[in-house]
Amino acid sequence: MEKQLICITCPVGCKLTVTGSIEAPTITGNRCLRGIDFAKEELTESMRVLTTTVRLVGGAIPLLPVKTEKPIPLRLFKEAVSEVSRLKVLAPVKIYDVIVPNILNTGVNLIATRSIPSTSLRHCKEP
Amino acid sequence: MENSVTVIGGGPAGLVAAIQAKQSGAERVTIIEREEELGGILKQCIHNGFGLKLFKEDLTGPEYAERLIDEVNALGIEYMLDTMALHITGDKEVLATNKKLGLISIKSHSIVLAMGCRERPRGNLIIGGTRPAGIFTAGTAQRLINIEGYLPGKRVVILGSGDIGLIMARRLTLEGAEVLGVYEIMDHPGGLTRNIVQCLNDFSIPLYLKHTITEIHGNDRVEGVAIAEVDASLEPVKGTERFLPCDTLLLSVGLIPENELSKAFGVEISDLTKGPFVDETMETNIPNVYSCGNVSVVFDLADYVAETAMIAGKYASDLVDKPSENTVRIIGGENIGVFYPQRYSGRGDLVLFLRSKKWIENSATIVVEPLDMNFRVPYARPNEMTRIKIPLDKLKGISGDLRVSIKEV
Repeated sequence: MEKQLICITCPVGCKLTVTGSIEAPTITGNRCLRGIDFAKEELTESMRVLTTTVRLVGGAIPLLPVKTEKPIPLRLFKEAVSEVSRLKVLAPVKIYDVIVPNILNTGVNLIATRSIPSTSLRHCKEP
Repeated sequence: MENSVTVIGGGPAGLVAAIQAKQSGAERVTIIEREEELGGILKQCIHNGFGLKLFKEDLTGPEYAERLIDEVNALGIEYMLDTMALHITGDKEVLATNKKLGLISIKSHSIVLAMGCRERPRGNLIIGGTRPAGIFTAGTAQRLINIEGYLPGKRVVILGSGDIGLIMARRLTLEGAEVLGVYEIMDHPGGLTRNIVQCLNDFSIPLYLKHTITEIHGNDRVEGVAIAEVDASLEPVKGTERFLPCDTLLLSVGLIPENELSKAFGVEISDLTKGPFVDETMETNIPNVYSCGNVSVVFDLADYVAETAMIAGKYASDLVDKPSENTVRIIGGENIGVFYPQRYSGRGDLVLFLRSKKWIENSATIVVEPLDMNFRVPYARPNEMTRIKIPLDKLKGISGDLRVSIKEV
């Protein structure tokens, strides 16, 4: 087997070459150890952090940004987004509140990525 | 009002500059922000990939913003929201306005310009055709989807492969739209490699290099676009044109620093970066007026924006004016596309940001003449800035221009 991958762990984007077997791959082209972990995982299951939004009721804005606390299988993205699209969350929300525990039985929580108060945001500290 | 700093703009650059100024001893720091919230464009960048350098964590835009805003609040930094800075006078008086207070005047020791940039619109490109609804800049589409909750269209073509366009290709796909392709006029993508992988390849969205859009069709709504290949001089090749039905066109064709305010009070603007000329302290040609982040030069990473803002904030808080001993010019030599800052005044370390003209995939050397210093970098790409840092002691007694080049090894 020979496979070309691009590591997406950081903005450098190392071009990885994988040879050998899936069980015992040889990985070259990585500039740091994270490249090895990325390639090993990518060979078996592409894992990504999902970021999307959830409908918010009673907040100053209509949507709450969310993410999975850890990467989940990429193949589950569509299903996860469609599950999330049926949800409504009530403001106020604190950053890192759990919005969906154990999403699609991945063992990973979907969490809020910002705080949103329930009142209007309009305020002004006068100098 | 003596030991005070006014920061124009409450995005990543303004927030970091304000925090740093306060932490460096400024008694009073005031941020002026035209939106109703602090955070700038980070609020709509709900994707992850931010903060790997600054926070050593993989954060989304809103998390990055909230961490900075929490710090601003904890430090007692003042901010005025929904407030538009209109003009800056010669003696550093900022005139601003909001609905509550009417016209406001703020005098301070230093000013930090942190207004960021805006997207190049359709009018900035030469595309023929009609003017129907359904043409958006990528950032506008991002705001509609992520903040306001509207899907801008169902069958989408993206012109330009800048990072925001790539991010939106993925976002639109996840929200149920069909992205027909990303069309890039150059022979290389504009955005980061990782975004090609995780935004296009992951979702089987095709990227067409050396292609452009020659015409937009549709009366009330976009009905399609004409796509053509381009030749080496970026002109459409006759006979390659084809019609692609779609209802939406996204433009991701570059960003322009927003310097109307700077220009109006005499800040000198570089033709290369479209932002103010600055020295290593981020000071502009006007004493005690600093500029940082995307209003200075368009960066690829919020962390680089933050680094320039830290420098600006630190020097802006310094009450003692330290006139430069002798300011030398920095000159872009061989294979330098964009470089920043443009001057060195002998006051601090020089953090230099460079964009290569050519793609150098194997290692490259950055040469700074006449210093006896070479920086080996693993690669140099036009779509990714390279950063180097030259310590003050290496630059002591420098006279004449500093010439920087990127050489293939």
